[in-house]
Amino acid sequence: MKTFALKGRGDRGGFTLVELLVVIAIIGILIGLLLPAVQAAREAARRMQCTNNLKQMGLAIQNYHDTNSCLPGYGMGGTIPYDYTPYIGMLPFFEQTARYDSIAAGDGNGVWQQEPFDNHEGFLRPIPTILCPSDAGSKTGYTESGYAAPFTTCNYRFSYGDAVNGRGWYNDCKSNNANCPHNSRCVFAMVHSGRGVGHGWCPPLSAITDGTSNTVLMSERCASPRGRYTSDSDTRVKSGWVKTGIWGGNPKSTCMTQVGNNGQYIASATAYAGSGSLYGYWFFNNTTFFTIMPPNGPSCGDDFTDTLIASATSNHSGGVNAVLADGSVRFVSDTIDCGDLTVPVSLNPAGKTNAHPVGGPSPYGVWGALGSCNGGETTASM
Amino acid sequence: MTLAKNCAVLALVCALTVALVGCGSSGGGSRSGLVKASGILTYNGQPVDGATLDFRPMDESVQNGVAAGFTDEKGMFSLMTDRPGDGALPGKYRVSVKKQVEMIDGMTRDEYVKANDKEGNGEVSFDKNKLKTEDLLPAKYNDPLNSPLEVEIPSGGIKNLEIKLED
Repeated sequence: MKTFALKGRGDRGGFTLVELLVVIAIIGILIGLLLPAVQAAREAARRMQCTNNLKQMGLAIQNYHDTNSCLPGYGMGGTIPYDYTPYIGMLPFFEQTARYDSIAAGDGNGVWQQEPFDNHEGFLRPIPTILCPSDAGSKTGYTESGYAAPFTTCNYRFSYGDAVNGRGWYNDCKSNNANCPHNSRCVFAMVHSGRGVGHGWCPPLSAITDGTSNTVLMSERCASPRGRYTSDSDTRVKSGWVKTGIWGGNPKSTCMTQVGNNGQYIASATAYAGSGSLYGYWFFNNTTFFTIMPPNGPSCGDDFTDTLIASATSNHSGGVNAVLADGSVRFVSDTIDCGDLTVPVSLNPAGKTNAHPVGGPSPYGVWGALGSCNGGETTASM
Repeated sequence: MTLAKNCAVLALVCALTVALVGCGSSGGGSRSGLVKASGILTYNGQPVDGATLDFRPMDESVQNGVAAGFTDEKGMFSLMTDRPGDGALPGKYRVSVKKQVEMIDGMTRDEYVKANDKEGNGEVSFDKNKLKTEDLLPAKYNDPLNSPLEVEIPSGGIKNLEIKLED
């Protein structure tokens, strides 16, 4: 009576122990392969969404340009500073019209009332479109004492190119337009402006003489949200910045040497948090990045406001996303050519260090060339 | 025979695994020829912290060969060329050393901001012409082209490089 299949296999009988062990080993190996792949797939999905968000930023800038005939700028106010970031002007172009209207309502006479760090709905609560899902650190914003909700944080940052505005400009600039530095290296320069958004430095796309496909507008940076003037420590290379007083030296010996092991700065570095804390406030630590240090490189400076070389960083493997002025999103590798980092950073026009003339080719390789909008570099292709 | 067959299958799987793993991303390789180099910086016999060192190749044909270091609280540094901690190319270098502080009215920027911050918001303007960079080390060492310090990084790397500064 042959009722069971195993018996049907004739004289071979069942499986041997060795065969079973081999099969188990194979299954083990396959699972071992699959698990990391699943993790990688999750990160790949997050990265894809991050890329998509950045694309929305690129489109918002283009649509802003269509409406206003210029790119959104950092907007300084008149006698009262309205030190907004380009985000505020862009709000209606990435479906945040209500937020824009609440800020722009002002006093009813066209005078903008809110400071970008006020306890006001326009500057509180997260906006998913300006957060990169790969950066868990950006999800929880900082809630200032007495405020209704956490500040709106951001991961996407505007390019300041490969040179830095003079410092000490802030009050000079408030009192006298002529004292306002203008960083002609990039389109998101900060200058004095009329009151409110849209009256600041507002360059047309034609100001990008290097070509829109050779100039980066925005990239990303890991966040570590804090209050406005934090002195909290953050020793992670990707989100913290080191107080080096970089202006005395060059980026290589002063800043690159601050990187230690395991994604941390060296133990002796004084490193601060605050990256991406307030999406509406102009501080370099909030919404700016520079195309000087390589992607995922260190950030160094003297002050989180206007003397900080913030670098593009991300949790994606091996690089950062960046949106170019032509609206395309590219992945920029950590190993992109950064030229000669021993050339001191230009502080034209107000600073003392002016190692490379603003207006000429960038000394910082392809990355620097992508950051400048009018450097005339011939090697800006990625 | 069955065992041999199964082992053949297992070998195949292993080979496939190795091949697949090979498809993973490889780290951006650092430039070949770099050797580890670290040491200590002293000034009149005392270790100097927070100083930057620039190692400029004396052979001018070397491209992007400047190595840099930064001293910790014990005066120790390790050199980097392309990536943090990757070392330096073997050869002769002219070494310049700086430890700079920027002063305004006899104060550092931090102290100045604290002393003049009437609005309490960290935003203080100052006359740029008053800003002075002070070097806490002798000036003869901070010129990258004419510093008297010359060192050689041996082809096997070096761990106890000593850079001595004197008045």
